[in-house]
Amino acid sequence: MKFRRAAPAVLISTVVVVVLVSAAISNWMFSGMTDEVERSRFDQMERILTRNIKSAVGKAQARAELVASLPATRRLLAAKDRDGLLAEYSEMFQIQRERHEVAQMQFAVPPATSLLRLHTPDAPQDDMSGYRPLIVAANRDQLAHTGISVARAGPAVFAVVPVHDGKGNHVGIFEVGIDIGPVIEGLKSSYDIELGFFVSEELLRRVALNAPPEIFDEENRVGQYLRVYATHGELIKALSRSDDLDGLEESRRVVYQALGEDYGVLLVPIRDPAGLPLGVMVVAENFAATRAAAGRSMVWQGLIALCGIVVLAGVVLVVVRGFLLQPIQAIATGNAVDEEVLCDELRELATGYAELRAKAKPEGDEDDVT
Amino acid sequence: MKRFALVSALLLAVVLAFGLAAKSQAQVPRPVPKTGEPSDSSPASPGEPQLIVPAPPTEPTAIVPAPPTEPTAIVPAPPTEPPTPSVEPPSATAAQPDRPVEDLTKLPLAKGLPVVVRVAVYFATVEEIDENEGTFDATIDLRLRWEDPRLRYPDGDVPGGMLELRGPAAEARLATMWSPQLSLANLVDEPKRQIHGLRLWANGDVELMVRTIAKFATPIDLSQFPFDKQQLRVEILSLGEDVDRLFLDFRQRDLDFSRVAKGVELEEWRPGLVELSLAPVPGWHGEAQARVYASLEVARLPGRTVAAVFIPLLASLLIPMLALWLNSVEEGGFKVEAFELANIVIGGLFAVVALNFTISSEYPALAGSDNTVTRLLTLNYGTLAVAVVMNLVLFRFDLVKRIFGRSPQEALFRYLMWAFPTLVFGTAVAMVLASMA
Repeated sequence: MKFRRAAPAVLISTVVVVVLVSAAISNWMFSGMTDEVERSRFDQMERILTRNIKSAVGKAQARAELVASLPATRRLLAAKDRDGLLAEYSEMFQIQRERHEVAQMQFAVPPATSLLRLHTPDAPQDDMSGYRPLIVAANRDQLAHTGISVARAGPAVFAVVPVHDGKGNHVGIFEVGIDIGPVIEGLKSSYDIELGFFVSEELLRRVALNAPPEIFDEENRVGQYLRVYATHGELIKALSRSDDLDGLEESRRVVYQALGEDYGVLLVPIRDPAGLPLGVMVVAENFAATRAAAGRSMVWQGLIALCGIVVLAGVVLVVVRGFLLQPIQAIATGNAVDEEVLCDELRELATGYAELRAKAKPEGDEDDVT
Repeated sequence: MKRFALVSALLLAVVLAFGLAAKSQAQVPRPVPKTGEPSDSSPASPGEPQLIVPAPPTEPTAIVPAPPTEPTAIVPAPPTEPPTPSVEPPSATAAQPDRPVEDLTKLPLAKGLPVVVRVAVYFATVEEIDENEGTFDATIDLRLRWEDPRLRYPDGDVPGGMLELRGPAAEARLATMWSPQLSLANLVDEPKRQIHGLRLWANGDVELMVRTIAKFATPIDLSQFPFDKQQLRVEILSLGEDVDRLFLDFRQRDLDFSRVAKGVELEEWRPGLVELSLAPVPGWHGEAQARVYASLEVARLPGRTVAAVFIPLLASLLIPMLALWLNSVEEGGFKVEAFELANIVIGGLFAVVALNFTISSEYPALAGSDNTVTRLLTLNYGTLAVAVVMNLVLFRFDLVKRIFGRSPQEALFRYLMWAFPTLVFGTAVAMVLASMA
């Protein structure tokens, strides 16, 4: 073993390990902070989505309860007067549709037979028991029921409230559906987040017979779902993967790269009021800033680690080789005293070694000792 | 000595050659005016607000004298005798003869306030981005949608249920009806060309399309240069009405419309997404005026810039290294005299100064901000300064030898031979990687 190599190697290795571990811990702590920031942004996205859907539900329910409590509604629905209802509420619906994103309004009688759809008055009075559990439940329980559901005209945020006649007898329900599109578009303009709403293709094909046909375009299909709304079609398409959407049971958070940027993607399963899977809401926010900050932090921490290793390695090399080994080698060759500026300890060693050598030499050879 | 002088001169020539290569490949930048804060001296400062649609025919009372030059209306003033369009537009008042004649140029209040105008912007072409001027040349289609129930007409009046007017016919019709008073607030000078298209549906829906070929001012952030992304911004500002009366907004249709044309190709840039965002402008008495930003994101393709700017900057870092690498230790002393090595360092200083000057004149916007190029230039100067100190301490005055002895000096010299370049190039690489992050 050569001390010249082994000693610096051991010391420098120790320095490298210590500095790298310190840098790794530091980076891990910073990454933790970045993760925390991203987690809070995910939480915020989820809160924003939930609050706005609830707000839309509340908006629908307020309208539905208002109309359901009107004497004209009670009287006309009890009489199953379709024409009377149309005459009474057609204009009201037009205003609601044009100014307040109300997409659907419907009167129905028990168990779940449509009496009048104000959004499509010419539609047949069909039995909705097979595909509108919300209306079935409201008629059965005689209680208000709310939630996202798919109707003949497509998905919407619905509120279904019971209607009673003047004697308190249950005569049917009144339903208001708020369009989801404006809700998510409002979120985009207010919070600068991208949203996409995917609905089960099977459900849409079975129920939403009057939905816009472009929904069924091939380019909207992701796995078992069809994209019904998107604030940015290209981006949402890049961020929505069938593996993520299919079989989604709980909210999921992932970070994907799309179009050269990192996006935090929140996948929220949407269920109908009966608890059955209906679709997935995809919420995305650009995480480029936090990711870039984390990347820059890692680079600078790497540089600091490199500087630490190089500087400490320099100290080790200069001290071990410059202050110890080379003087000792000079002492060993016997010419250190004159030519080296030695520290006190090594000077004593050099002097002692010179004296020892002098003593060891036979008489007459003293001049050779230097 | 001649040998080192020759090496210095050679290095200076190489670095200058790189600098000239950069000059030939790059454009001449100038300070970037911030949007909304135009510099008086900058030719890129936005001019007067450009009206997208004509002002109402009633003339407002002037509180201050009108400027000598009238702001150029994007739509020309209504002619006294409107030209007859190819298809005679149905008259809203004619359709309802019993009702009093309404002033169609007033804000449509039938649906209540605020009147909502949906905004969308399509970037048809983007021809040039001048990051030094902070401008870009583009052809944009601004689409505005609103509803004016006063313009409803019977379905059968026009084949297809929609009346389409273009050019002068559209402009003439616009002069007779209300349309949002908006401006492209970040236009630089007057637009080269502007064309209007108007669609009127039987149900009162109105769609105004304005194609504008113009130069736009846009903020440029070069802190990540040359791995930067820029937002080419078009600023649509409501003039006059506050947000309680006129609200700009966008819906899915508008978001889908807002994109860059597929065929658009830019030298050194890759176009990306178009983002719409609401950014109301504070007005008087707590009011606000609606504003929408339509921003096209473009990512720089760094290949050419890296070759033109970064190679000389990294190559010049080698010069101070030579002051170390060309020396050697023999029998306790340095082989090369300090003043010969100082020649190399001084030559390097001139080279970096020349490179700095070249970059500053070619990329003034870079010189005035904190970015990778200025950081690398600072590293160059710092490295030269360290080389001068090492030259004096080690080679000229032998300070280490005098204080600690010959062996520590030798050990320090051998250490610096690899440690100094490692630290310098490690720092340079970190600077580049940080800008890429």
